[in-house]
Amino acid sequence: MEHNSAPMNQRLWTPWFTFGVILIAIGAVLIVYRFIAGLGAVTNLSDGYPWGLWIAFDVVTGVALAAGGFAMAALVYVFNRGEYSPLVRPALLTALLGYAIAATAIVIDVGRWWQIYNPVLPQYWQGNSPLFEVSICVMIYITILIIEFVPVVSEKYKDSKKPFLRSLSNKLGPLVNKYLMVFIILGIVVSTLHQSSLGAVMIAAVERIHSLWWSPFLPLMFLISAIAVGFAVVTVESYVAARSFKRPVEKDMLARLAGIIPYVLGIYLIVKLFDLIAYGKVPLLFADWWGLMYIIEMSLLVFIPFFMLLKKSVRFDIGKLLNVSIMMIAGIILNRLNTYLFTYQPRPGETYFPTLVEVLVTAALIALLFVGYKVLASFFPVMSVSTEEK
Amino acid sequence: MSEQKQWSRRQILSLFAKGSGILMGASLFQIPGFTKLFADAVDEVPVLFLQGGCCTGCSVSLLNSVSPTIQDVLLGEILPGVSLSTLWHSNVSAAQGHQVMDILDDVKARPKGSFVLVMEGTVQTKDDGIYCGFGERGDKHYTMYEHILDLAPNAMAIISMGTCAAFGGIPAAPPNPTGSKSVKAVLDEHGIDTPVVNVPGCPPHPDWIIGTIATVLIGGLGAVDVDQYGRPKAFFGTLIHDNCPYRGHFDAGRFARDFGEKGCMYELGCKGPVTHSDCPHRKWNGGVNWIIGAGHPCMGCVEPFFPFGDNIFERVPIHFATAPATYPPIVTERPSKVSPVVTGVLGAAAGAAAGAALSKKKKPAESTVKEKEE
Amino acid sequence: MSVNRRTFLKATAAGVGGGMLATQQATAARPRKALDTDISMLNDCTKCIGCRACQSRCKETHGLERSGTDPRYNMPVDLSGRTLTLIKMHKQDDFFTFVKKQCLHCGDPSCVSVCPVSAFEKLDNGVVSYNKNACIGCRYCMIACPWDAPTFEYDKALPVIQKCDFCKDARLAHGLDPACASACPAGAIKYGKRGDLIKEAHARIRENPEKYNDHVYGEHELGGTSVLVLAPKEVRFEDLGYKLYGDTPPFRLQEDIQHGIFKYFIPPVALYAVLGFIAYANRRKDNDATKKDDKKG
Repeated sequence: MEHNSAPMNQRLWTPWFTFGVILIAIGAVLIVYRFIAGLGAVTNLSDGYPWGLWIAFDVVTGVALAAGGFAMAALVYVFNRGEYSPLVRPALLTALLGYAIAATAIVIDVGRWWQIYNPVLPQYWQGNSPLFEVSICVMIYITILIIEFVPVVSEKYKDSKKPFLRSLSNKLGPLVNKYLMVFIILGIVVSTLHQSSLGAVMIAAVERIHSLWWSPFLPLMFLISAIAVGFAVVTVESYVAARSFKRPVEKDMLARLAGIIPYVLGIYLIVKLFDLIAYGKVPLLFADWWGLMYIIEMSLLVFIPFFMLLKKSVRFDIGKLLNVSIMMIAGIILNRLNTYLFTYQPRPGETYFPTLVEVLVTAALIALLFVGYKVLASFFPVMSVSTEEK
Repeated sequence: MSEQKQWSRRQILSLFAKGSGILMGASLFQIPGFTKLFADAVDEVPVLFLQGGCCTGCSVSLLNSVSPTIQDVLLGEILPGVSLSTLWHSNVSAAQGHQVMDILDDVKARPKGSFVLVMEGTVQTKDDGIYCGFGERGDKHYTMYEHILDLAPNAMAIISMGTCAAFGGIPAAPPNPTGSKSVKAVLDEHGIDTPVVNVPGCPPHPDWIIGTIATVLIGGLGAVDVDQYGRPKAFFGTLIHDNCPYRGHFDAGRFARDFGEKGCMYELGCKGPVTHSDCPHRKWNGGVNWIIGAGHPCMGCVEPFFPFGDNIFERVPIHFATAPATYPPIVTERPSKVSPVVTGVLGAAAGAAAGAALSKKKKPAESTVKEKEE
Repeated sequence: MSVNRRTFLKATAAGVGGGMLATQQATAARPRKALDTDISMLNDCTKCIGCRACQSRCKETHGLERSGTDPRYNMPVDLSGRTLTLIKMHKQDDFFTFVKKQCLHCGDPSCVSVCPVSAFEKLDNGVVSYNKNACIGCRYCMIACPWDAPTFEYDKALPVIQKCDFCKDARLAHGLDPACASACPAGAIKYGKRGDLIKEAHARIRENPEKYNDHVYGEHELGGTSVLVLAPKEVRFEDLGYKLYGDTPPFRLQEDIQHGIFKYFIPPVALYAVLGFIAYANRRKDNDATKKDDKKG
């Protein structure tokens, strides 16, 4: 299926862009300091709370939000819904940047970062660990995302004046395109594995997180919610990119995409309800503030979006659609943070609150996503354009 | 050769005993019959006190001995049945000049193992020991270095009194222009294997000196249990730190930052944690006080590093763990780390995000139109 | 782009092959439970006098000096990079109990199960050992350990995970008892084989029923641990920081899920095959439709 994409040429250095670059610069300095001085000097991590903002938000929530890439790939390439193809490359770029940033956050957070490649070495493989699976799958997936991005790059350079670039692009581009399906399907499989494994990780912490969030079905719940939110993220990202590059918003396409979300949310709701009822957790919903938190999270992520997106009037009103999408994103952030951080209480007396450095580094990584997107979409043919414009 | 005879203890006793003992009805020892009995039983070991590179502080400290008194030590009995016969001591003996040289010759001629040498101060070895001359005969000058080398092989034991004799102390501190060495170092250099017992201190407590001598006299050398520095463990076996009354302050982290402040003096350079002696128990000047009690940090004067190996007022690293005074509870309370600054930043960020999200509603319709105009 | 059937099948085959190879690595050599022949330690809280000789001797043996950032000089309040074991005190009315906190060297260790790089290993003699060359410092072991034994050196730029290593290199290798066991003046720490010490623990309870809490902690908890704890009669184990867990470690569930998902790598490959089939079928439908259009047009 053909889609037309072209690099954007909007002014890069808008005020927001500049602000983003400043945040990145601050973050870079702080990251260097973290490596020199050690984790204790820049974070409030402790033996009681070994995982804090960086793991819970940058890595876990980041991976959940970057799920749009594989969700769109599945939709367009496996289920052959070609009408959504203009959304594929932007989703791919978001996923690539999102995973790159999550991987960066991992390298910053682990203590013995110079051995971060150890999971690749066979003598250290430990198949019982979901974290092992996550690390291998994320490594494979980032490779796949890069491979999937090769056609985008080669499209730019195939007519390049530099002969080396031209010939390389003309060889690699078609080669990757020929085997693209293999990689895309592999990417979907690998994504499924690691999205669910991120849920499996917290199963080991059974005593330490609140019963409402702990479940043997955590892997399934994480996977389904990631898919649902993947579409929401694609919606928001498409809108923001369109506004940023002064392109028309693909309102119709997004409206139809949104129609898929209620199905996914429906499955998620069934799993969640089963978990609540089968394990007798319903009374917990009304027992304390955590019950309220659960209800709020489910409302943001499931209830409100489910009922709203069933209505055509909501889906085709870009403003309302965006609100619902943002609500879902807020819901999933809350869900991941609740599971990994907020409800985590290892033993009495322990507390954790991020330091300013942790917050600033996180902000820098988020800024890197936006700045990176703008730079790459300006440079490479990612954004969809009509044939006349091309 | 001197005609002056040394009055031995036995002679003095018999003198008194004959006259006054029965009349006064005094102690058992003064009953002539018993006296003779005991006189035979008592061991008398000749002790020679020499001084090298020293300040005489150790001897002055020795003179402060309260129990037994110095008179008993030098002239009478250290303990019942034990006495030492002071051959010569520079500060308390009457002999001087060539009389001393005669005494030295006497001692050198004694059979092996028949006397104890107590050395105070370092042996100064540079330039053939000329920096510590001791005596002459005719034109020949003698140095303490020579005397030590002559006397040491025949001595039963050598007691190095004071840190200078034991480890080199102050004269041996850099740049050490006199080539001062500890007694043990000199003996090792010359392959003399006479046992050396170190009783360090600057000065040593009189009890340490007398106690060591008494132990040697009563039980022989084997009775003195020494540590790796040759110091009797009876006096130098425990850390000051482990018996310090300020230990509670140390464990609780209350440190004095300046002299006169309340608390442990570790930060002021107290060497208590690495110094082995019983000063906290024994105290000084008849149990009146001791350095830490007087408000000054311990200087570690019994340790080989004294005086300048470790700066007196610099914190000493503690290499071994010692158990603290209080117990941690089962549940460790940690302070809350909620920072108002971070809360503010996060709140502002969340607010900005929410604001941006809500404001989107108004914009969408315009974009397509604008685009066409461009 | 077209789905090349051949390449698709090739990729599937590669996946299966690679997957089978991968799952080989996960098989363990020794049974996942505490054995009677494991090295073991019996910590008897009724005999502990709180002298902390064990704590000090442990530090001395491992060359660990003062406790990090704690302003009180040598006074650890909890396990840390410099404190591999410590004595904690529990006060109940006027009754004091001292309890030794340390790694319990589980028979089926959580840390071994969750570590992504096999940095933790249950040795044949029963010691749970740590390999810093494998460790990436992800700290998952700290999330998983029910007794919070692994600690992380947050204050170092080149950190490691620290926990009691049963003196395996410093003392066991030389035929000596662990440092803490040899330091204890009150006989509260006894070193021996697990089978023997369990018998002894029960014997102590039997012979002094009014003195002991009738439970040998570590005998069955989470698959059994090498370090066993006895408590005084009046005191509950939970109050000493030793929660009464069931017999199955929590990570077992997650492992079962993992093994289910990765059984010979079949499910992922099956998923791959299913997706591929759907894609192929959809493509075929598309091509047929285009052909029909062409014919029409």
